[in-house]
Amino acid sequence: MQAPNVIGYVYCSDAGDILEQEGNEVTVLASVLVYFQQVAGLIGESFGLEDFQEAQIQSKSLVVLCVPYKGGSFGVILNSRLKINEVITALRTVLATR
Amino acid sequence: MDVSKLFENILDLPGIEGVCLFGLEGQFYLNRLPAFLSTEVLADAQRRIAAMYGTMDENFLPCDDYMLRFSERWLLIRRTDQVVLLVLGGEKANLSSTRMVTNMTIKHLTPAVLAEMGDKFNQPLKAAAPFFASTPAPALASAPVLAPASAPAKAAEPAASKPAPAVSVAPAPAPAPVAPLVEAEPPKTVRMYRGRPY
Repeated sequence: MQAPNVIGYVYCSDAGDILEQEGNEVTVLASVLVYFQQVAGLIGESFGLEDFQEAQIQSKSLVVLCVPYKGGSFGVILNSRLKINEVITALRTVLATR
Repeated sequence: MDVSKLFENILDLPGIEGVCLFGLEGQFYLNRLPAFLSTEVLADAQRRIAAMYGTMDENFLPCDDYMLRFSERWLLIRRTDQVVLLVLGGEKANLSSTRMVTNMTIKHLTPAVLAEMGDKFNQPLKAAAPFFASTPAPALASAPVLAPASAPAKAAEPAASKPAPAVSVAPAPAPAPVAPLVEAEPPKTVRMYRGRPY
C-alpha cells in the first residue's frame, strides 16, 4: 500500500475467497480476479504460452495488476499507470518474502 | 496512407513476434502472427478473449487494454470500438514502446480502412472458394439441367406455344430430391489424412 499510486489490494484463494484485502474497490475486483486469472492462462494456452506470471489491466481511470500467488491470485489497484514497474517490483519483493 | 506500414512499424520493434487484428464480431483483418498460429488455431483464443472482455466489462470495469505476461513472452490485447489488436512480444520487447506504436496504429483504423483490410484478408479465401467448388459444381449444375430436360420434352408437345413457362415451372420441383444426394458426395472425395485420401 505504500507503493506509489496504489489504492488497494486483495488476495484471493483459488476458490475465490478473499484471504486478505485493504483499500478501495477491492471487493469488486475480488469477484472477477480468480476467473480472470484462469481465462488469462487459457488465452496463453491458445498461443502455446505457459506459466502465466502477471497481467496489467487498464481501464480509463484505473490500472489493475494481477499476479498468481500460492495457488491464488493477488490483485493490486492503482490510480495511474505511472511508476507501474516500480509497483510490480515492490509487489514481487513483498510476495517473495512472505 | 498504407495501413500495412503501421503494422510493419509494430513488427519492426525489437522483440515483437507477431500482430493480429480481428473485429468484435470475430472477423479477421490481419494475421501476422507466427505461421503456426493460423486463424483456425486462433478461434479458441478469440473466444476466450471475448469471454474475458465480457466478464470484466460486466463484473468489474470496462477495460480495453490487457497485458498478459507468460514465462518467455507476453500478449498485449487492445480493444477499440470495432476491433481487437493483439501483439505477441518476447522478453526483449519493450511494452511502453509497443503501446506507443499501437496507439498510432489504432488511431488510423477507421471503418473505411477496416473494410479495405477485410476485403484484402478475405481475398485468398474468395479465390480458393471456386477451386473447392469446382468439383461439386458440375454435378450440381448438371442436376437441374438433366431434370428439366426430360420434363419439358414431355410437356413441350401439349404446350408448344408456351415454352418459357414450362421451363420456369418444371425445374422447381425437380432439384429438390436430386440436390441432397449430389451435395452429400463431395466431402468423401475431399477428405484427406496426411495428404492422402481415405
